Amino acid sequence: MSSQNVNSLEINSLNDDDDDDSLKIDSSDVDSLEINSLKIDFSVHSLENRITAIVDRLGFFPSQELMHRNTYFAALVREAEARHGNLESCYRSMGGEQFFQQTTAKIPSQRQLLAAATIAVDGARYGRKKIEMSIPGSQKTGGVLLAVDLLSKKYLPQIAPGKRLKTLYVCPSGLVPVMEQEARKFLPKYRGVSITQGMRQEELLRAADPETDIIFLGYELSFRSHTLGIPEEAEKQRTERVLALYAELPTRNAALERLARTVGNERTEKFAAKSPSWNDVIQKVFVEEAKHEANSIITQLEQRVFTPEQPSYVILGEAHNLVDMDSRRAQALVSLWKNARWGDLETGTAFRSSIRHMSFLMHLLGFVEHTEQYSLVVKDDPKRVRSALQLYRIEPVITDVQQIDSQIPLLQEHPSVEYQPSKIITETYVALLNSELFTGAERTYLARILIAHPKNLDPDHFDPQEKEMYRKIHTFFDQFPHLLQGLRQEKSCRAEAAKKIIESALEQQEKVLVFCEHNITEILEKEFAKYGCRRIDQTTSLEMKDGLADRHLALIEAARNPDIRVVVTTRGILREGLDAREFTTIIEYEPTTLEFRREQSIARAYRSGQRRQVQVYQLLASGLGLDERIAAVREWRQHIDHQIYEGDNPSAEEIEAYLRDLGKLQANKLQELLDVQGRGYLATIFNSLVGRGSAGFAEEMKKQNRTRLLPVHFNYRWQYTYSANCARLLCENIIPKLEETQGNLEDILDGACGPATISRTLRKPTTNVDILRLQLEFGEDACQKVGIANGKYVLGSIHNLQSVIPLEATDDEVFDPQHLTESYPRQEKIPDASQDLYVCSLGMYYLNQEERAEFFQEAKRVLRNGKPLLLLIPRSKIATSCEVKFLEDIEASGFTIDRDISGIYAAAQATNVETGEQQGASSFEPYVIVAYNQGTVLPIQKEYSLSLGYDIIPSIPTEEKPLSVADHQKPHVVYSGFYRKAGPQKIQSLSLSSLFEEVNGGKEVDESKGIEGEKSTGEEESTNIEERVRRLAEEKPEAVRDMLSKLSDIFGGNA
Amino acid sequence: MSLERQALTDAALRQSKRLQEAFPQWKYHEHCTLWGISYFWNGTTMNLEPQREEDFVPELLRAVEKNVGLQEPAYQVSKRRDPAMYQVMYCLANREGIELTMEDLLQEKYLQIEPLLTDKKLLTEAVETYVVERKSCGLNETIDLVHFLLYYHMPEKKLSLHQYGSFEPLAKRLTLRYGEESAEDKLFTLISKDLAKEALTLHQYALYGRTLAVAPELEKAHQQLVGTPVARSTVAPKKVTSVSMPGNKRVIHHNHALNIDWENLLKGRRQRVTVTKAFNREELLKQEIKEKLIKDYFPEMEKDSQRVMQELEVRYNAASAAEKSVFEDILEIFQGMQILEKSESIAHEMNIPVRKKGK
Repeated sequence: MSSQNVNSLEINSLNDDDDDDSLKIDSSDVDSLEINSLKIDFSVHSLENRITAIVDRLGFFPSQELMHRNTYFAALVREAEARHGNLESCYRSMGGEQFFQQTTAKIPSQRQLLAAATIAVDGARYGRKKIEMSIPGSQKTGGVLLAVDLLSKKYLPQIAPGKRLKTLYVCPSGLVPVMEQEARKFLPKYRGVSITQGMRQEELLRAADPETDIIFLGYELSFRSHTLGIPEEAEKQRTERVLALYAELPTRNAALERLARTVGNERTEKFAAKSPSWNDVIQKVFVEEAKHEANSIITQLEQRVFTPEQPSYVILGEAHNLVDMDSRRAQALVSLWKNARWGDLETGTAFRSSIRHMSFLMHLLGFVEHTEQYSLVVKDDPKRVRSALQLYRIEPVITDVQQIDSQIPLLQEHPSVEYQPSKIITETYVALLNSELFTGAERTYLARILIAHPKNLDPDHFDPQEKEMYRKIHTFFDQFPHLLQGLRQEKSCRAEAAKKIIESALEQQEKVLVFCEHNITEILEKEFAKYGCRRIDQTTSLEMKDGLADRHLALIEAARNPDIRVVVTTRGILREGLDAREFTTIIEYEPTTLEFRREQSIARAYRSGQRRQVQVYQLLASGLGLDERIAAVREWRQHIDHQIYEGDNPSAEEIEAYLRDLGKLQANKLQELLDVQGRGYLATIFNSLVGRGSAGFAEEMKKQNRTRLLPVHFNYRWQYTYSANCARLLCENIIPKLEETQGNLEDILDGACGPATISRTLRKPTTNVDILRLQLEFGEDACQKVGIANGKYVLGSIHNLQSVIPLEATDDEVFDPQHLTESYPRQEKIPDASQDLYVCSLGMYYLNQEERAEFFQEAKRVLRNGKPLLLLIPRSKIATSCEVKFLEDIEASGFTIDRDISGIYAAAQATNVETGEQQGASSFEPYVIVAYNQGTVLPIQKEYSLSLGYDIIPSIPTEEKPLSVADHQKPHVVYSGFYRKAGPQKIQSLSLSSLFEEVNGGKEVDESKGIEGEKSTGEEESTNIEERVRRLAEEKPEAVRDMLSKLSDIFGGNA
Repeated sequence: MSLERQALTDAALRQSKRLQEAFPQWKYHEHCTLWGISYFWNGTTMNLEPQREEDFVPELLRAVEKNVGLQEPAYQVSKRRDPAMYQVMYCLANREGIELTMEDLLQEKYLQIEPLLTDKKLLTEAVETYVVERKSCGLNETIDLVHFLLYYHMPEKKLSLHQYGSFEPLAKRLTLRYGEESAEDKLFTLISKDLAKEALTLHQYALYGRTLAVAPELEKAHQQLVGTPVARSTVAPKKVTSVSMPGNKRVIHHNHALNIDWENLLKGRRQRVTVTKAFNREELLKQEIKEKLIKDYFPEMEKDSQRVMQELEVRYNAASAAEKSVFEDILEIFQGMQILEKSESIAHEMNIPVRKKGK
């Protein structure tokens, strides 16, 4: 008899798969059957081989009753009866008791002994409860249970002589039988009882029996829906009870009254506000009353078994399921846990998807008094979490299966198996993202459905009960009927990509697990039917019967039925406690952001005892960006997870810093923002205010310290900022040009002036309007320093220059545009036709649409006839596609655009102030508009749109194009040698360029002539174009005809 | 008008004298500072309309700027609306610079003004009172020094949470000088060592129920056994998130006075206390040592547990008092493992039905 140092529950699967003949072809010629669309061909795999595979997996001869719970097994029984008379005879023909040989394995492992002793000692010496957080499948439970013996032997006699320890093991209901089995394996002399839904009264009595040592309880019995996985008996009871409720509560109001008795008036009122139907209320009453009853199980345990005098040990298995402190389940367990002298949380994925998800666990461990304190203490810093866990985790933490099973081949991951999505999928994807029908979350949801399987986006597949989504998706396809038509005929590119992997795996005789996120298991089962596919999803019950749930049986069938090669399932279904090691190829059909789910699902195959290499494939739709985005989020979480499990412990200095520095860290962060990322921070704030309007801008400025911090930082080394560079461009380049034609511009109004940017750069007094007092004061100081007196400084918004407030007339730090009359008894007006020049640099785009119209009207009012309005907008704030329309809107407001001066400006040189080095100047590209007041005031209502308002395709942060605020860290740069890069008609020349490119076979158009200072005037450009058209017409007359036709479409007959 | 150095020295002397004169009667007043006296004290009372000596502070600040450079205050007051308080904010942000400059100007005479200028004198009075009151049980054991400074009323000799007390202006100055997170530590450096030690112990017990000091032998043992962890270089994927602005508007300027939003500040402080309570440094050091020793000895346990236990006993006997509890833990854990290994109530092997070859 051999002895092995293994103690896995799944020990029967340790048989070398090379010996497994269940997949080999048997030549005996017998009948075939068809079960669930799978043909059982006994001529290919004999009945004996099929039954052997199952018995081998189970480790015992299953009873007829058990076999009849699964369709495939039942078919085998019928075949066995036909051939052998009955199942027993069939078993006998396989060798009966001689089928198995008995071997033994040494248990427990040293690691399990260490875990048990650690729990016992820390509880006894310090009253400290522990967390066993080794990875899934690392045989944690044995060690945790063994502590029972040590506590009973050594510690109980010391602290409570004559008392007997009571242990409570709580875990997901589906795992209770597995844990019971573990307890029998390690602690054969201890008595256990499981409390189940059906037999709870008797079992509670047994639990209270002094001779009972361990009580097993499912989380679901203290919480959760009772409708999930209820066995037939319970289902019957449920139906009866619901029918009784219908009879007892004949009206909706009667049902609501009854609900109030269970959950209270407040919750009932909230529920009633959703206008539930009578039926909905009855269902709610049923669920709430069932919860109430379930809670009484905990209460009864507390009163009858785990009394305050009773020494106890509480184990919360798969504790990552405990997230929400307010959940009934959590509340019910807290008092039992707190009363226990010893305790252990057992979870292989404690981190879940966010550091914050551990708050309840850390509260249970006693690290913080209240869950909300946890986030304040660890501040999303994985190193702090590691430090926080240090006192509680059982060391060493097993972080790789190889640490307990050195023979397991290394997991092989293929992180991005790319495929090209079809044109219709891409088109639909872009249409979805651009559709204003959906919220952001809905867009993502629908995009995921589309990528997973286009047919699933068919509006007919949506639930009419989900009224809003049902309406929206129908409206969407009403707008794009051709897309729906296309999708209905479309194959799933993703499924096709998966098929390639499946085929390759099947060639290697591997079985394949396909994990998908959404409910497309049925569709995929059909897609993969030709390979022999079975789906295991929510339609298979997890309710236990005789130690095995139907889901277990389905998995055993899939694992051991040679006709099934592919299983489609979800990560939520194939999770803790299930063993799927026969499946050595895993396809992550849809990505997940939840690393813990992913880990748990992979651990079904990559687990102790696995002897084949497990391959994991992740599919990636090339070019759409969504998969990468999801992967980026998950990778970030994986990184955090890694830091917590395997990162460095904090140094002594860091611990010291933790003790001191909650605020200090904030201060550091603040300092960092100001010193290093200040401009990035400013950019982030200001970018978020584009289009928000003056009221939104003012409101944001009033928050926290912004009224001070922003101006202070804005003005820190102002002369090197973007604002200053823009001011220099205007004052050194544009305004002198204007003066050439307009004469001396005496009266200048600087709207949204910031720190009086124009006045201090132009070195002459101006009238300065801004929404922030400190900006004006900084400006005034700066002007005084350079000897500019007599400037005017008023608080106000550029869309209403009829109500500006002298600084001395108010103490407000931020102008309040919403309550002008109440806030400001003393107001002034910028007089009509009083200005020679109105400059608005880096300001207009913060106004909302309505205010923009008012802005142009006000500009007309204050400017003298024929005098210029000078606007500067960062290139990034005006979309090329909106440019022409925007200029048209300005002209419609009664201005004439100066097309010789307006346009995109650039700098020839850029000097890094810190290093003195020259650098690329391409990032400086403001858009300047000069518009002359034409006198007549037109009643206009234009859009003044500067952007489309949404992104067409979400961008993915890359090395080249990061999103992080830190990437706004740019050196201080002074730009010089300003020149006009392109005139306002650039949009047309761009179209021409692209058309040139198109007709020129994709050859890049030479635009270099347009980048050399002032050389590129509109006139020269048009000459250029003429020459190029002429040249091209000689070479490619057909192409030019085509191009001219396109130009006609754009410009009409004049082209 | 710019004052020459001699003129500035004369002015500094004059203001120092005025401060000394005002101090006994006005020491708890917000403006009983060198700069406050210059602007607001008329020789008998504090007059909140700034007057007299108004050139002194700007000139002093100019001298500070020349001498050591001028720090921008974290909070600013509008210069146009309240020029005096605008300068006061600069003074509060440049305490060290002012002290150095004043020392430079006054030479040996500086020693007379130094305890007043640095707040040492007033702080010593406050801390001494705190210690006496705590020891005599005049104050509840949960009252820490910061609460004492904010709410203790000297004339009545009692703590009242309804109204800020005598030392609140002092707390404000310390907070503006050292920052709201550091002031609490720094104030102990301004008083005599003995007084600081005694007050710190009382203060920490009030906040954490323990002192935060760690036995030096434990630090040493940790350094020897665990050392400084060597950071493994890991490249973090880029975090996709937005930034949020920390901090709240803590300083409110109104009618020639600065008010700190103490409620907000104390909220932040309560969080700090929570952190300090949660991370028990001594326990963490012990745990790291324990982990290291278990890591070293655990693999040997299966081979020769007797030898391991003997070795640990020897080390236990030689260990310092602070380290002993670590060895006790390990010995007890390993003994626990031995008990389990010999226990007859647990299974030591399990039967596995394995399919016979050829079946």
